Amino acid sequence: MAGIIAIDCGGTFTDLVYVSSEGRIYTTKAHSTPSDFSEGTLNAIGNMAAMLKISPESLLDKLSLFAFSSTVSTNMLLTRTGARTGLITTRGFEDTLFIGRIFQKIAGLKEQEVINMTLLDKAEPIIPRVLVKGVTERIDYKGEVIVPLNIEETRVAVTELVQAGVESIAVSTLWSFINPENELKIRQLIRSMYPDIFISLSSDLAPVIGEYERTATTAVNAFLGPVNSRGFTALSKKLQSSGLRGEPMMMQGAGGYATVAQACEKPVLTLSSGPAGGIVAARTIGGLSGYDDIITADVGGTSFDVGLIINGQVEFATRPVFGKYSLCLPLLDITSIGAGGGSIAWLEPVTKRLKVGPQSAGADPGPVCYEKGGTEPTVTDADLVLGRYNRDNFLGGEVKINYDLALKAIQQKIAAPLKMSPIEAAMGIVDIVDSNMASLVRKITVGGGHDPQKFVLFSFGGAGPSHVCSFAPAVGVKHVVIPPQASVFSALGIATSDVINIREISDPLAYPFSVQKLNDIFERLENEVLGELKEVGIARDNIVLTRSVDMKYKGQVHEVRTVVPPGKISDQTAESMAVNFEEAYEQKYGKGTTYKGAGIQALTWRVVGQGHTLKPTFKKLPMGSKDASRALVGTREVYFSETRGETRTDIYERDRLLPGNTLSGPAIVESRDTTIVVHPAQRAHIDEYLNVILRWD
Amino acid sequence: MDISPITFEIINNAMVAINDEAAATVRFVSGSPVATDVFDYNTGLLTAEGDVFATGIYISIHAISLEYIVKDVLREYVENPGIGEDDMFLCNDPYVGAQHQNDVALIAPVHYQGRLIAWTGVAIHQLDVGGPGKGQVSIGATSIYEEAPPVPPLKIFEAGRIRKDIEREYLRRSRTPEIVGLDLRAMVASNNVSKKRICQLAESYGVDTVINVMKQTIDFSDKTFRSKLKDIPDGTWRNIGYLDYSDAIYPCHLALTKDGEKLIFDFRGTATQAPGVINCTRVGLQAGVLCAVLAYLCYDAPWCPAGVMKNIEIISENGTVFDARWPAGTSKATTAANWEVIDLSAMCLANMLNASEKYRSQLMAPWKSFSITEDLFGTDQRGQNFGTFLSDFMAGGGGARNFKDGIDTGGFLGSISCAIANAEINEFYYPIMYLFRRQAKDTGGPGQFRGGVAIETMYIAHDVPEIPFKIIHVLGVEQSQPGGIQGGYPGSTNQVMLKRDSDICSQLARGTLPGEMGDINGRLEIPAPITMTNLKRDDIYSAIGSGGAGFGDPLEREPSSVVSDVINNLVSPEQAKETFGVIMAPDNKSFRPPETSEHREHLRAERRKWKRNKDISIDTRNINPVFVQRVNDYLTVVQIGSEHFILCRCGYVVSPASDNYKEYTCMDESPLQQAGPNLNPYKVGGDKFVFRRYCCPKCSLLFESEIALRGSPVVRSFQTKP
Repeated sequence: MAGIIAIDCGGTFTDLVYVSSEGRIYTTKAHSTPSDFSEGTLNAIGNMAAMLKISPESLLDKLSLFAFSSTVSTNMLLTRTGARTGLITTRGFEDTLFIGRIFQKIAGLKEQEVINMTLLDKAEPIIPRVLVKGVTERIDYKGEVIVPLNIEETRVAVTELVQAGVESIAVSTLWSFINPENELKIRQLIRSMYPDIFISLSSDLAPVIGEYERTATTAVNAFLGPVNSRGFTALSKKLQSSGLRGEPMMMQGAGGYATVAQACEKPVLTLSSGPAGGIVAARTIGGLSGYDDIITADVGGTSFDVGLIINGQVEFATRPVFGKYSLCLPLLDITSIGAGGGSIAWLEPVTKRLKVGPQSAGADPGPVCYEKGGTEPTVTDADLVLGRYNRDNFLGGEVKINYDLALKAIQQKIAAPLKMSPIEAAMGIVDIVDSNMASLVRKITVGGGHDPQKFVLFSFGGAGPSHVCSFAPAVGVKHVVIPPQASVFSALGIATSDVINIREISDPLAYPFSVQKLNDIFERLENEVLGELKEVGIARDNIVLTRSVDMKYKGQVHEVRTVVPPGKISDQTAESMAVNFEEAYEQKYGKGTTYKGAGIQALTWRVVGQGHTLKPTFKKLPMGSKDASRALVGTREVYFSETRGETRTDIYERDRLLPGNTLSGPAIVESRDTTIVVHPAQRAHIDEYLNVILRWD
Repeated sequence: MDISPITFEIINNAMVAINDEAAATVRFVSGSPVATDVFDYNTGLLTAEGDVFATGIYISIHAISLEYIVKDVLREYVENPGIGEDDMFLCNDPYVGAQHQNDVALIAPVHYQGRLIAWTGVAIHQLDVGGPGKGQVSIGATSIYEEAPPVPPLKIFEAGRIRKDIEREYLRRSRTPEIVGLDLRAMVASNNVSKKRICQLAESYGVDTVINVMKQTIDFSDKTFRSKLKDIPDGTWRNIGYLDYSDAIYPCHLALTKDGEKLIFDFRGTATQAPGVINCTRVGLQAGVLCAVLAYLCYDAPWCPAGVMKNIEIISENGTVFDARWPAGTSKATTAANWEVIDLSAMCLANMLNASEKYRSQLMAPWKSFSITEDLFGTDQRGQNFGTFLSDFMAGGGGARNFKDGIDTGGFLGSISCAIANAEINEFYYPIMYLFRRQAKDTGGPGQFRGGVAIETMYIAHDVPEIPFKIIHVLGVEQSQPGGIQGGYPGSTNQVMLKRDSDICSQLARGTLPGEMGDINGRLEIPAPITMTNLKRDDIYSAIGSGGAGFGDPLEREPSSVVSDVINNLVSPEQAKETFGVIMAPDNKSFRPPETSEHREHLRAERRKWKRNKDISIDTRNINPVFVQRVNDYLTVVQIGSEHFILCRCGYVVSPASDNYKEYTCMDESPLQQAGPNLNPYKVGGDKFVFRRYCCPKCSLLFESEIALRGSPVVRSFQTKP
């Protein structure tokens, strides 16, 4: 096979992973260029070409796949810099986006932010109220047309919107997911009047019950549409003129990619695509070693992101929130808190309680030790004071750090007021941030009904491997895996993704289900998915379709995703769906929580189409000697909470460690982009894929 | 015992996480939309003595219930029936600790190696716990004997399992036994989570350390709270509110005194308890105070009620609507007396914060008060029995802040996390079809910063011949509870309307959707605020909720903000002119600056014509007032000679500080409807209430506005410490 390039355009860095036709993995980074992300992308390609000593053209020319993700959509939504957008909806429901089920005012906020009520507000609207037009039409819960669409009124509404300068129109009417008739008529009308307007239809994009989330999803898509299309298409053209054959692929938040053309039509699906890459990478790398249940833990500068893989399957979020809008989208479930290397340590003014985060020094000014003007001590400063980081050669010498400044900041701001030594204060900062991380992982596993002891934890992101040694044992996972590509893990995930297309539709049915209806629904969804995948050029043999349905007890609110077997549905399959549901329900909510008397309902039906593409082959290396001494490069004093004192600690260089090598804590493993801390009484070994495996008793 | 600050922080964070996990467990297990969608529940962790040191961000009043119930069990049950290691006690008795009978709590002792080290508890609002009335309110009940039966603490969970006999007894009376039964399991599961995790902490850190962290958490919260009070000027703030229930009016009084590091809530003067459902017990009174205090003063740290309550004294008279004596009815307490306590407290706290230079940006004018509450029972579109309450009217207006408007359809103070269901979900489950559900124009209290607007809905029965039981029980119809701050106006009153025998079916068949009640032909019926009625096929039901209160003189509002309100359909051009003094251009997309200035001057001149009771004539030309204390943005206390006076920002000396300054202002008393088009427009209950305004005799700046019972004395809204 030919090579693969995967790029993750993040806020600060654009990461690139190149997998050569021999399966070798090369990585590089370039600074991101938020104003025009294609520049950073092309720079990263240039860097890689230089590293390989070939021209960018010949690098691109040789590829079988070019895939990328970008934070462009997410940023555009957060900064409200999308297109001028209008919304056409059912008359009487023009305020749905503004009411936001009340809940919008706290959507996505942490408890600390929620209780500060004077600072709460609804979302900064992506569509101003004047650009929302209600039209006369009404469909009821059965899909029956109660009031037909008033075409004349709609024509006036469209004209007014266009006169007001919109270049994009979202259409979302009540019950359109059951009967899209009126929405389709509206689209037809807009097309006939203004063919160049970007149109986003709720029945097409997110045909699920719940008008607020459906409308929000449609509105966000319309808001992102025109600008994203221009950006993605421009990048596509630039790449092709630089030698790329074929079309580049875009990562989606669902953990697989789509063509640029598809992404241009549904840009909302590219939200959160970078972090999704991390989960996919963990599944791929974990799959090589036979891990089915994985917790992904990504510690960056400002946030700590956690995701789950259960039985080799990724988990989807129920109502992910972006910019205070709750969306109904199949995105991978990732939960974050403000805890990372840049998290600021501070004392609560009255009680002098020591707090860490959620505020972060970010990339600028960054930790005090970076000497970029930061004055507030951060977790990175504490790590440095504890001896975990190499004062003279931090991250391969790429970043200069100042130990004395970090020490002084911790001494003045934390240690002196608490009457402790700076080392104790630094240890306190690290202990607190680690316990916050452990709490989040517990909340996601135990809180969701999963036993952490069944999971291995994948640690990645710049600061992850320095802290995982502490929070992972506290959670009680099996062991920790630190992959060699920990700092470009999302890009690696993109390189190993499949093409994914997901169609879902709400069509509430009560049990016992009509077999005919079930077959109709799945046939329709599967045909849609197959059509989309065909457009990407995936052969039918390489497509796996998975069916599921969200079911619940009548009168209850929890929906449980239940797998539906493939093939023609018979009475038996319909019955087995109910059994599967009850099993899944008890597994999630505990024994004895089922509510059999109430009756079972099925709400939202779904087909996930996974189109397998060529994957990079990861070389399995032979296991060698346990002796890690050739990687031992020195020793230094490091402070650990277990020993409550400075401990002479072996320092290893990661690039020299070979499969089979074993080392015992206390130890530090340094590489160009991360530092792994191994506590006393912990052991690490290198597996055949060069992952560092961290264990304890 | 000395705990390292690091250990404290880690255990404290773990406690917050435990309570969070317990709350999540309720949502997981409970099937009731009340818990999972409306979030009408809460969890708490308590010390061995029954002090709440951690509670969630859901309905905050439940936290107080837990404290009362645990303390009752500790007082009454140690010997008989005993407090065993794996026992739990259920209670919904408002005279012990519940807010009203529908709020059922389950508390559990936490033992570690045989020693009682803590308690954990959870309370969930139940759809139906029996009694003559469907849902929560027994219309026409004159005492608790005619309401859902109260259950004092009952050992329903014994030695690790639910007692089947007691569970059957408990579920027997409910019209929704499956959901109530499931909620019982949700509460058990939630308590088990907390118990297990607290014991794990004791295992890892030592039981004494964990107990000390609980105590220290309370101490820290106490210390933080006191330090805040220290920075707020001493004084007394007063307010009178009203419960308008079933032809009678129950005035409710609060005088809030801040004295050093103490807050004293004095509710004396409040009306004698009602022969009906609206009273709250002393539990509800304390809970209402706590709810307001947490929202206004505890915005910067996880909520720890025990630490806060240490500094709060509550004075009330037994036998009043706020401190009911057995056997007064309480089934509607949480949406009546309890809410009134929250409103009065919020109003006084807002005025108190306004006097503090340091904390004034934390003030909020009162949020929406009473909800339009309605329960529906009948046969649904699929031929099955149903019973529910629609929660749309939780979407009331947020109170204005002193730097920006209140949140439109922002919810209510008692539950920051609440949510309303999608219209599609309600239409799917219940036999109704909405004609609109939108933000209601002219419902936010006007002001320099406007209160948030309320929601309004209109619906019909759909796919059934009728909805036979529609129980409306709503207060705040004759008057609007949340008063404005510093010259801001109150928000709208609650309004419910029916149109009987209408032409809606033929309108729909003709392809029209009505936009207003006026678009429909039929017989208008304004139901009594407490009514059991029905909804037939040709009937239309519509309601408008209450908005948040405003902050500051409406004539001080930026005209551009008024314009954007008009454009966004939140304020009508008429109200823009009448209340805000802004003259819109004919296209209603901009305003006319010269006409606006002129009109605002005209309105100010009109104000100067209002009558004055007392006149103070001080020649200020040769004296130099010395600043003593801030009252709000408009008024300060100054010293002239040896006397204290109230000074307007224009330099005019309004009154001596020793007297009620309002008596010296230009005062207007108008019909309530003067406050806006959405204040009891149908004059339900007649015109018992008036709208009073007080302005500066010199610059005519509006100092205050209030709704008052006709003929009642002018309230002295603040009093500084001499």
